[in-house]
Amino acid sequence: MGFLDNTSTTVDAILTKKGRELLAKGDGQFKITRFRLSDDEIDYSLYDTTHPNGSNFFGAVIENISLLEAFPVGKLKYFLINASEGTTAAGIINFSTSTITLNAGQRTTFNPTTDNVTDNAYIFTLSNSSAGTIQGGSAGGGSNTPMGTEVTARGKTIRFTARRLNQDLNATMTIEGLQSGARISIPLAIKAAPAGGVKA
Amino acid sequence: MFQIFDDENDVIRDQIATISSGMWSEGVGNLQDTTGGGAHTSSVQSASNGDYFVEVYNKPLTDTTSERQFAIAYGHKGGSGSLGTIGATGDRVTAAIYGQFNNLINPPETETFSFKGNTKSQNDIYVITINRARLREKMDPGNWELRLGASGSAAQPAGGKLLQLIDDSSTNTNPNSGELGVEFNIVSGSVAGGSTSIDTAADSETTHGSYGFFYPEVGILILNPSALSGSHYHLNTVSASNTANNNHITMFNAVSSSGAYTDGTTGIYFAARREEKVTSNHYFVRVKNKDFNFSQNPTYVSGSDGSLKIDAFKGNSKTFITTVGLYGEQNDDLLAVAKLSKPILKDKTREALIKVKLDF
Repeated sequence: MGFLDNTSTTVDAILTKKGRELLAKGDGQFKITRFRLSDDEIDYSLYDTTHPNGSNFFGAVIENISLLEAFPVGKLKYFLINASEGTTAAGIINFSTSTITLNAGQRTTFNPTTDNVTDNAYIFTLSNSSAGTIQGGSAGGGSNTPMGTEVTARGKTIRFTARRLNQDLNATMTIEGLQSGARISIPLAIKAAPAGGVKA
Repeated sequence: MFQIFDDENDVIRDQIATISSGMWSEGVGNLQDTTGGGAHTSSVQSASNGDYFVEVYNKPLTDTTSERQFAIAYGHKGGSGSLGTIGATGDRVTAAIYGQFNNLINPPETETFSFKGNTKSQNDIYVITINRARLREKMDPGNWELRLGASGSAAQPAGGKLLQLIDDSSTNTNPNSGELGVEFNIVSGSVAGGSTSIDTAADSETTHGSYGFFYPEVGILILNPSALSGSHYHLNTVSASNTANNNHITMFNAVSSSGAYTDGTTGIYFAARREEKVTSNHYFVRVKNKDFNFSQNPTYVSGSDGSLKIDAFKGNSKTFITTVGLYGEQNDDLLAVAKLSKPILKDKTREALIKVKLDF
């Protein structure tokens, strides 16, 4: 006779900065309806198929690590996804360039594709709204977006227009495949306008 | 990839729980004179507005972690016990205090306090106000006890007792609801060991009236000096005209270590709990056997072609869940995040149920 395995785990969640912001508005925008799972902090190379105690212990090193507490800033980095049985390759996002440099007012289009998996849409996250505006996609980057904040938009493609800034600014555009969970980050370098512009 | 919660079965919203904890700094429930902590004053505060009230700290001010716990003031309708009279210089601070709390607590056109058991007008009061940061939402009725020691050797009657004050919420089923919320009477008794014991009910305090009023929602205790100077305690309240009698310091001495009772009785303290309501949402994250068995972790798949890096996972992919991200329906911003204490192994033969609790 032994104790049964307790398969239910109870954890406390914390609000992110964005969650607090929406909750404070009190206009009903704060309503959690979806979840995603992540394996951030896991190093799968620690999975040891030569463990002397057998297959039950192949993942023991990973299972026994103590995880960090949740951060109120940032986002999940690597997602767990559904894949049909026998899948041997994950989605890989293709994008034409690895870095982008834009002058004031210059535009570029983000139109990624995915290998191995079909992505119906992508989540585009601009790390700093001061860098520019996003057109197209479902949301984000409008004129009401506060400068210096993170902006997200969803769609197949988006256009990005660099702002006229009085100094150079570096930012990042992260692209996540909605179905594949794949992600890439593309550094953006925005050059200051020759005659000056708004404060970055 | 996103999974949508079944709002009917997976989400329980707005569960309200009442949480109580020790009211003093660091969650301490007992502000005691004998073991560490205790009651201390600040010479800086005393020099600035110390005529009006005395701030009580949990530790000596030389300790950088000391924090304000509550304040003590004395009020007199005519200004006795403080410098100044009508038509003369002086701030008449006791009159200011009395008027201030009369204005806050009593109904319009009421000029004096009167206490349960004897409704005569009481021209002076002691006030204890709990610091806002300590109080949070409210003081927990029925779960505080103020033990007063001697306020000065001359004031102690032979054979006198330590005075233990509590509220009458355990028996007062229909308390007044006044300007500052629910009002309970302060009576002699104890809550030691978690059970309330009232020595004398407020109605039976016919000589001087009850020991005072207690307003849990604002953390204010109004004490009746006449009752405190009664037969078995004898707090030495002095109210001379145009004289700074510093009665609030007398009361501080009674709650601090300097007021240790002359008969050697120990155990002078102010024990209290606070109470707050916490609203929680519960989300049941149901991870089915065929879901979430693949990862985009760079140690799991190759960045160049997406192929699996671990041969053992081919045909039997496994993942380890560490984090649950919660999202709204209008955009893809992460609204809340929950971390597991240990990774959960997931493959096609395992299901997981993770209950996520989000407090507001």
